[in-house]
This record gives sequence, structure tokens and C-alpha cells, in this order.
Amino acid sequence: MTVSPLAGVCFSSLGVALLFLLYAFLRGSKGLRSYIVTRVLLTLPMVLILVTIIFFVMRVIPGDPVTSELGPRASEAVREQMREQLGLNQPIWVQYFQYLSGIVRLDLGTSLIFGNRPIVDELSERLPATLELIIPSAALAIGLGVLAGTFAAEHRKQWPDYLLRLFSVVVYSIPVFWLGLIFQVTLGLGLGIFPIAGRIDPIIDISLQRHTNILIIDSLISGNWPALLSALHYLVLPTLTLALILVGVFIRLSRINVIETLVQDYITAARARGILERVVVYRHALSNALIPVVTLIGLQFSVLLAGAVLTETTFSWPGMGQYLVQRIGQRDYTAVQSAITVFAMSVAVISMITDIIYAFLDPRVQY
Amino acid sequence: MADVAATDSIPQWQRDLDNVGFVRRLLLARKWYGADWWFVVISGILLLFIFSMAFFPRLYAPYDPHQEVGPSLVPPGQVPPSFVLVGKENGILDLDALTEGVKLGIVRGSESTQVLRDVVARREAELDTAGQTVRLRPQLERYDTIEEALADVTAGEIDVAIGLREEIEPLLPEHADLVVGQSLSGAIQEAFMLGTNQLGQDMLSRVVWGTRTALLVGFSAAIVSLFLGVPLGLIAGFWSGRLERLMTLVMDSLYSFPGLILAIAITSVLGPGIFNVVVAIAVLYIPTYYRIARGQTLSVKEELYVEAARSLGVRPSGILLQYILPNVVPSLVVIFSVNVADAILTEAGLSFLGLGLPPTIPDWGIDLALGQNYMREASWLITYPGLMIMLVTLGFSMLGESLSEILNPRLAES
Amino acid sequence: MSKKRYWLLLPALILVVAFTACIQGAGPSAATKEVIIGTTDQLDSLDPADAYATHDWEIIRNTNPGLIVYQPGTADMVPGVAEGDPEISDDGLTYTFTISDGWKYPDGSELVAGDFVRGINRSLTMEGDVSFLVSTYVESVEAPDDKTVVFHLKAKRGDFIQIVSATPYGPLQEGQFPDDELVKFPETLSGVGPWQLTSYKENEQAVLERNPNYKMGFSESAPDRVIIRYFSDPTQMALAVEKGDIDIAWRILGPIETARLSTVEGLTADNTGGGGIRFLSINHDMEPFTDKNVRKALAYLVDRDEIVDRVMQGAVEPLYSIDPPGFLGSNEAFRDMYGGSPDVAKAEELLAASGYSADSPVEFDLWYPPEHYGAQAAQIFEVLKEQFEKSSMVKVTLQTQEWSTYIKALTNGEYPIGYLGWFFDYPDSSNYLDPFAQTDFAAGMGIFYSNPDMDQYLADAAASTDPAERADLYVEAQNLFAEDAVCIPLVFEAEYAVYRSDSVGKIVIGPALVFQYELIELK
Repeated sequence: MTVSPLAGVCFSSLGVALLFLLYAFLRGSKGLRSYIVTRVLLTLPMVLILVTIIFFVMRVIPGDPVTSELGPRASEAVREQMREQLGLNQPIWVQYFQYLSGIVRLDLGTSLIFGNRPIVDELSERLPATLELIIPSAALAIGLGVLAGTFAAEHRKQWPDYLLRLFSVVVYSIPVFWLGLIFQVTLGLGLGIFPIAGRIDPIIDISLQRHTNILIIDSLISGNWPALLSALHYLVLPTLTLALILVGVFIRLSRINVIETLVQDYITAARARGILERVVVYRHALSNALIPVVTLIGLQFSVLLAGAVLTETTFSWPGMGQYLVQRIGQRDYTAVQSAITVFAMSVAVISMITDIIYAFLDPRVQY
Repeated sequence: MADVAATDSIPQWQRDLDNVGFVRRLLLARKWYGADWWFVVISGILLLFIFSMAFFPRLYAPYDPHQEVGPSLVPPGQVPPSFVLVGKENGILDLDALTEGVKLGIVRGSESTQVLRDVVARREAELDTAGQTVRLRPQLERYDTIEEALADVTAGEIDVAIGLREEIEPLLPEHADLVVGQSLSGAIQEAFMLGTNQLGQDMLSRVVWGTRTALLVGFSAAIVSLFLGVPLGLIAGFWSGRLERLMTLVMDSLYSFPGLILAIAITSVLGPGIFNVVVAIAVLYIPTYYRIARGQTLSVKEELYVEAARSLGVRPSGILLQYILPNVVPSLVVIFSVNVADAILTEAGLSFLGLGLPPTIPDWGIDLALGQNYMREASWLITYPGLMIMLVTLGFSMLGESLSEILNPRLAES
Repeated sequence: MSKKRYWLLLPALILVVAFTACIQGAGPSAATKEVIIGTTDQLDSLDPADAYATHDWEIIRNTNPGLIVYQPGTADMVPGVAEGDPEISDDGLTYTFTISDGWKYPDGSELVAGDFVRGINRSLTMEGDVSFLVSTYVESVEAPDDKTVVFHLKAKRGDFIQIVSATPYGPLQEGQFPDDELVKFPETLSGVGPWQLTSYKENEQAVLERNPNYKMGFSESAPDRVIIRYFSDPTQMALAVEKGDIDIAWRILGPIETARLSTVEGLTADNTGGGGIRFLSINHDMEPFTDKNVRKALAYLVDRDEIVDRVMQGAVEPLYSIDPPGFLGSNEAFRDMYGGSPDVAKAEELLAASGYSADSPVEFDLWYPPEHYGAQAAQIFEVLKEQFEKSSMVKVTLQTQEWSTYIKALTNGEYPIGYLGWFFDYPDSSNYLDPFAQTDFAAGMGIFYSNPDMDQYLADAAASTDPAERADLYVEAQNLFAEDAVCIPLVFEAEYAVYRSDSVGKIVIGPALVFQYELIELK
């Protein structure tokens, strides 16, 4: 049996998540244990609900996908064959359960348009590309956002605070695709230092063996240093675009959290002991304020994915977002449905994991 | 926007401020809230300006956003040029002679074609009212340069050419038999503040009219979700039960899902159109309102005064409207403001992807999507719609951000 | 605590690494000569029995030439794999081609006549999108020996040599494709042509390597390897060629972007001389277009010059016949019949004759796909709507639909009137008139036009082998086409390629839009 790369990615990330859960489960208190169990159990219905919504939304499409693919003059036999191939000849609840069992087996069917390509294979090429884009963007946005947010909190009601807050609102208000275009023209073409679009240099690409389709990891595994540099080089503009949009949110959220921590008793106690204000802010308050930021990462993950759709389109980045937009254009409903399903599942799992990490880190959480 | 730095309990500031009059309260607030007060005021002024644009676009927009007012891609602040006819001395040299069958040489992509269309249409209308039906439509021959066109006039291939006076005059010595004829200029001989777009429509007017579209979509979406989400949340918070738990689970799932992607899925099913976009975006925010309303209700309903009202026999609907709803309103204001901003961004994103509004509506997202093809030679096509999206979003989110700073009791100065 | 601070450095680290990456740049390795061609097209299918899109055909033609090919850079037909012109039987129904020696597949095996039979039979039986291009004309095909291919036609065709140049008539090596199944995306694709497709990643790139056994060999300056880079929109592609990320920007750059790029130093725009016609396809089975007066009224109202000059900035040509200039017998029937400029009075006369007035105007939905025909489609239709509504007796509602749904609905006759582009499958006037005016084909296009006189002209022209006679018949057909206002031709849009002068010396594409990669001259 060949395991598709998507299955590989899914299973390995699920494996890591499971290991963490196990660790938290063993190390944690009784309360934490029951929280983990509840949270995991809660994730299943959440995924189920999202998947169900997606299934039924995609079924109310005006017009029959078979007619839209074959046209009204196609013979009844051909239509029947296509319906059978798509499973559309079954009653809707049978289709629904087939769809669910397909998801469990990681079998999302084949594309309506590109006949012989299983959608799982297509998505397994696309998901890693999206991960490669959003992970560095998130890291950059979180890193800068938390630092700037803490700095703003430290100087609350002084000009750095106001400037940073203004900055955070302004960057949030910029349309992603517009920013991308401006970067392409200025940094890409104007200064000529960054490539316009794509993931890696076309020529270097030929020499790169793709295993995971996360090009940075692939080039590290194979020790292909030009490929690593090229992949990073191509990553700069899209990452910068996406990170800049997100950084505002993180500045704001970490600022609020640090401020809220700063008014708490133990901080006041630390101040009373004569500890330097800077030490109070960056050591005591920040370390505690960072804990809720973990949950925020979970919530912002969906903002990140939405931003990734537009960023990918602007930079010809062959990820999930570009795939989704393209297949909607081609009315490839099975592919669209599957792509959204993968989005939904990743969102649910990420929010579960961040919630549990939060609970694990913060002893004050009530289960 | 997932930011709902929730206000879970009754805000302290409300009670404090209850003792002063409204206007005084606003002015006094400046001292308490410092720059945040200014943020609110600035964004308020910005939004007032934007609202006035949306309600009275004709005050700001000099032209109809669909009307062809001048040549394509006239840069901001530049007056559209005038052109002259050039032909043989005893040949065709004025507008009235440009009847059907006359061959006229033009330079490819030059503004002269618009000017020609414009003057011909005007002259035809004039003649029409004078009772003459003459069709002044020469047959166009397109050339890459004016030199080629003049050469063909000299050679007798075409009857007359049209070009810029300053381009033609230096060339005349080479073409002894050619003379400059009538000068033709478009109806509008003044500069366009933000230039014209690829169809010769006035960018300023399009940007102004686009405000109306943006606010229409943003507000309708936020209002629809407000009116669906809040009642559901209030009810769910008030009567707990199995159905409520299921609904909360559904709302939580929707809440965690990436908004734009959900909107893409919904519009892909519904197709483009202003109503469909509103529906798609409204669905995104229902969970936000639901969560806030439910959370507030849950905490408020245990308060003593609610208990008291209940024991006095006030009906549940009365309790909800009189005692609980007022407590939810402050957070709703913040979220509403942020949601409108977000809805405008989402709509622009959808339209940019071609999944939003039909292209005949003046809209910033569509103008951006169409204008990006010209962004190197006519950067104003994407600069101004982009800036407007940014300004409007900025106005709403700055308002929301500062209000939440002011209203959030947990951030109260210690 | 120190640990926590450590990871905050990560973004900074990424920036530093990225910055070094920029400074180092990504220099191409010097060992092999590559050329990078950008496109916004996508591959739809690589199965020759199914592929029916320009980009698909380009790849297939580069890997696998047919019996008859284009003279490079022209639309003229010359023998390709065939040794010379075919022997045609007296009744014109049997064509016998002889294969020349020395055509080899990359694995070294020799091409045999049976490979053609396999390929063509597969096209006949598989019912792919392109099958009609074989099944309409060919009764059967056989290979009496390894060097001879014999076609038996269903009816006499004067243009069969042109038809044979289409890709479904190509050879097929045994084992390349299964006999009973269409495979749209094979792992690799090879034939006796100069190139073999070695990898394809959707939305990223396709790589073509040389066929070491290519009969004609490669010139000194020909590329060793061709990389086709896929872009999601023309703007990005234009920026990329301007910056030098790619060497050649090819389909579909669009005339306006080309006009701008041609003024940029270091870039050369190559006008292929070929391109697509754009027209309004009218459904004669649907109200209000069952009425000839309405169709003619629209023909009177259209202002092609405004579309050309205002929307397309002069980068396209007005089109006055469905058969574009340069083809046998092509004329300007619509200009002769309706004038070169709009005539509202005449249009209203016709509409009034059919009982329409300003109070009860003729109303219809006008459909177009928003992206497929270039970024300016929305603007073209905004302007067309204005032009039609210059008459108060016309009321137009614009409708859009994504391409893949659009084209099916349009050709199924679900829309009353819509936008359609056409580029020939084989270079002959018949391929511009038959599809829209011949009864059976027109029904397949969703036009449902039927006129026995027209069918007769077209049948006679197809069967004739005398060019002068054919030209006369096509003139008659075009005039009738305009008289009946079957469809309304709008513009002719030439296709361009833009290449960087610092890396590419010359490219050869030609009006048939056959881009032969082996003829690229690198510097």
C-alpha cells in the first residue's frame, strides 16, 4: 500500500499531537486530564458539524454537477455512469455517510474535472506549500507582535504605545492583495532583490527531490543548499505580506494581556520589592501574558488561513488557497468540498491543541 | 476579526458616568482616556466624512461613475490634450467633412480616438437638432506612429490624419502638401483630480461611488448578523438546554472557521451579486454576536436585580429586553464597528477574486482587480481604491479598538 | 525563561537567512542551457485523444509531430513525419502517406506506421473532447506496412491535409497510453519529436528535456531544457519577465500588457501574426433571436472601433467577418452590409418592424466569462451594453459565469447570446465557417443556425480542391453569414510573446501559434 504524502503529513502531525496529549495527560493533574478528555471529545462533534455544513452547502448548488459537466444533451447512459462515478445516484444520506467514511479513510474521491487524479494526492501537494507559507509568517507575526505589544504595554499611555497601536490598526486595514502587489512592484521589480512569484527558482527546482513538498525541509534533508537559499529567497515577499497583516492583531492582543497581567497582585508585589520596572514587565508579566497568547494563536489561525488564500493568489503560490479559488472557477465541486474539509479539520485540530497547551501551561485555568 | 476582548461583567465606567450629562461626559472623557479619546474623535470625523460620501456622492463626485469623461488613463491632474486634423491642402480638413467612407489615420492607443468620438457625437447631435441626419463616422486606419500616418496621407492612402499639433508641426516640412486643419478637443477640458481609468471614467467619481457600495455591503452584513446573532445568543443564554448546547457547538465551529474561505464557499454556491455577498459575509459574523450575547446573558442573569425582577413576576422577554440587553450593548458597539471594517475587507477580497460583486457596480475591489493590469503604467488605478479600502477599514477598526480600550474594565487604570 | 527569549530570535534568524539568500541570489547552473517560458495557461489534458486546448496542443506538438506539420513561423503545411505529400485517390476518399526514415523515440525504438493507426484509432474510440476532429472526417485508418498510413474518408475534403496536422492525428508509441482509458496527466510524455515532458507540477512548472534521438537534431544555440512556469495572472507574468525571473512570457499576456512591455528596454515583443477572433455567438433557437431583425439590429448597433480604441487601446483589430483576414476568400461582409460604424436609425427601423418600441424594448441577457478572454472582458461588455442601449428599444442585462460552466452552457444553447473566441484547429476558412454556420456543427455550438443554402456553400467548398472556386464559395458563405447575422464578429486579437533580449536571441512561433521550443536561439 502506498501512503500518500497528505496522509503522511496528517498522520505525523496527528502523531506529534497525540504524543503531546499523552505527555500532558500523564504529567497533568486530575483536572487537566479530564479537561483534555473533554476537549478532545468536543473536537469530534466540531469537526462533524463543520463537515456536515460544508456537505449540505455544497449540495444546494443551483444545477446538477453532472449536467454542468456533461451538458443537457449528453445521453442518459453517460449521465448515469457519471452519477455513479460521483456517487450521486445514491440517496443523500447514503452520500453523506460515504463522504464521512471517505474522510475517515482519507479518501476524498477523484476530481470532477481532472478525471484520474485523486484529490488526496492533489491536496497533499498543496497543503505543505500552504504550511510553508503560513508557519514562517505566523512565527514572524507572533515574534514581532509579542515584542512590540509588550513594549507598548510597558509604555502604556505614552507615545510608543499610541504609535504601535496606530500601526497595528493601520496594518490590519491594508488589503492583503494590495500590499502584495505593492511589494511586488517595489521590492520585487523596483529594487530587484526578490522574485515576483512562485516557490523556488525553476532551474534549481529540477535538482530538488521532493519528499514532503515543504521545500525548506526537502532541501535540508537532501542537503541541497542552493535549493534552501532559493526557497527562502522566494519565501520573503509572501511571508512579509502575510506577517504584516497579522502582526497588528498580535501587537494588540499581547499588549492587552500584558497590561492585564501588570495590574495583578504578584506584579504589584514584585514592584513593591523594588524590582526594576523593565524586569517586572519583561520577565514576570510577559512570561505570564504569553500563555494566553497561545490560545490567540489558535484563534488567529483562521485569520492566517484566510490571509493565505489572497496571498497565494497574489504570488502564484501553489497552496491550498490558490487550489480552492481555481477549482471554484472550474466548478470542480468534489475538489472544492475536499479542500474546505481539510481547512475545517486543520482549524479544529489546531484550536484543540492550542486550548490544551494553554490549559497545560496555565495552572489557573479552570477545567 | 476574532478580537472580542470580552467584557464579561457590567462595566464599571458606566456606573461612574451615569452621574453626568451626556455632552459633558463626552468632553470630560478626554481627560480620562487621553489619546484614545482623540482616536475616537479622529476616526469619528473620518467616518463622518466617509458617510457623507456614501450618502451624498454627488457632492464629491464631479461625474457619473459610468460616464466616459475623457481619454483612457489620463494621469491625475493632467488636462486631456487637443488634437488637430492634418490633410492635403484642398482635401478634408474639418469635422463636418468626416462622413462615412472618409479614411482617417490615427495613432494606435492615442487619446485622439476618444476626442474624435466625443466631438463627432456632439456634432451629430447638433446637426440632428438642426434637422440634418449626417453620420460623421470616418473609417479608421490605425498606425503605430504619426509619421507613418502622415506618409500615408501624402501617398493618398488615407484622406486625413489626426494627431497632436506639437507632434505634427515639426514633421510638416517633410510633407509639403499637408496642412493643419481644424483643432478638435473633448468636451471636458480640465484636469481630473485622480485621473481616468482604462475606460476614460473619472477615478474620483468611481472612488466616491464605491464608498456607497462598500458601506452598503459592510453595514448590511453586520446588521443582518447582529439581528440574527444577538437574539439567538440572548435566548441561548437565558434558557440553557440541549438545543442551546448544540447551537453553541455549531456557532463555535463556525466561529473558528476562516471567514474568507467560508464566504468563498457560499458565494461560489450563490454566484456573484450584491445580495449574495451580503448573505455570505453576514453568516460569518453571526457566531461573534451569538457568543457575546450568550456570554453576557449567562453572567448577568445570575445578578441579584435580575433575580429580583424575576421574582416580581416580570416575564422572561421583559427581563431579556430590560435588564440583560442593555448590558450587552457596549460590547456590541465595539464588535459592530470592527465587523463593518472586516466585512469591507472581505468584500474587497471576494471581488478581487472575482467572486464578489458583478463588475458593473462601482466597487473598490473590482477597480483593484481590473486596475492591476495597468498598475505599471497607471499606478493611480490601484493606489486610490486601495487607499480608500484602507481608510474606511481604518476608521472603523480604530473606532472599535479605541472604544474597546475605553470600555474594557479589565484595562481600567489601576 | 532564557529559553523563551531564545525562540523570539527565530524570526530575526529567518530574516537574516533570507537576506543572505537575496545577496547570494539564485544563480543558474552553467552546465545546461535552460529557457524558462511563463504562461497563464493551464494544462487540461495531455492525452492526445482528449486534449483540445492551445497549451495542451503546444506540449503535444513539441513532443510528437504529425504526418503534416507547419512550416516554422508560418501557417503553411509541409510534410513532417511523412516523406512527402500524400497520394490521393481519384475519388478523393483515400489518402496514402509514406513515413520517412529515422524517426525514433527517446528509448531508441523506431517509429512505425502502426503507431499512427494506434493513435488515431484511440482518438476515434475514446470519445475524448477532441474526437470529433477525427470522427467527422475519417472512416478508418490502416497501416499496410511499417512505412505506410492509409486514411479512408467519409466524404471528400479539400482541406484534409490541413486537418491531418491536428494533434489527434499524431503517432502513439505502444505502452504510452492505455487502450481503454483516457489518461489526462501521464507521468511523462514522449514521442518522436524534439522534446519529452519529464515532469509536471500543476501551477508550478513543466520540464521538457531533449529527445536524444530526435531526427532533425538540435542547433548550437538551442536550449537543452525547457521549463514552463505557470502563473496565476498576466500581471505577475509581466512583472516576472520584466525583472528577469523568466526568459519568455507567452500566452496569455494580453495585447495591452504587451504594448507596455514592448516599450521596456531589454524586452522584445514578438507578434505571432496569429490569434483569436472574438464574436457574439447568438442562439437562433431562443427568443428574441429567432427574429432575424433583432440580430441585424445588433449588428447595426455594434461599434467595433470603440471597443478597439477605447477598451483595448488600439491593441486589437476590428473584425468584419467571421473568416479573419489572411484566409481563403476572407472579406469584410459586415462592414459592407452594416457599415463601419453604428447606425441607430437603421437598427430602430428593424426593431420597429418587429414590433418593438421604446416602451416595449427587446430585452435579453448578454453573457460573458469574466477571465477567460483576458482581463478586459468586463470592460468590453460594459461598453457593448452602452452601445446596444444607445437605442432606447434595447435593454441588455449583463451576466457572467466562470469559464468552465460558461462554455458548456453556451454550447448547450442555454444562453441567448454570449461571447466566444475561436482559434483554428487547422488553418483553413472551413474551420472558421463550418463550426458556426453548418447546421450540425452550429447546433453543437449552441447557435442552432440552419440554412440549406449555407450548408450547400460549405459542403461544396469543403469538397472542392480548386482554391479559386473555394474562395468564391467562401465569399458567398460570408455574405450570407452577414445577411443572416448568424453571429456578430467583433475583434481579432493577435497573440504576442515577449522575451528578454539579454538571454534569448530569437523565437519562432508564427500565425498557427505553434511554438517550437527547439528553434529558440539562446544567447
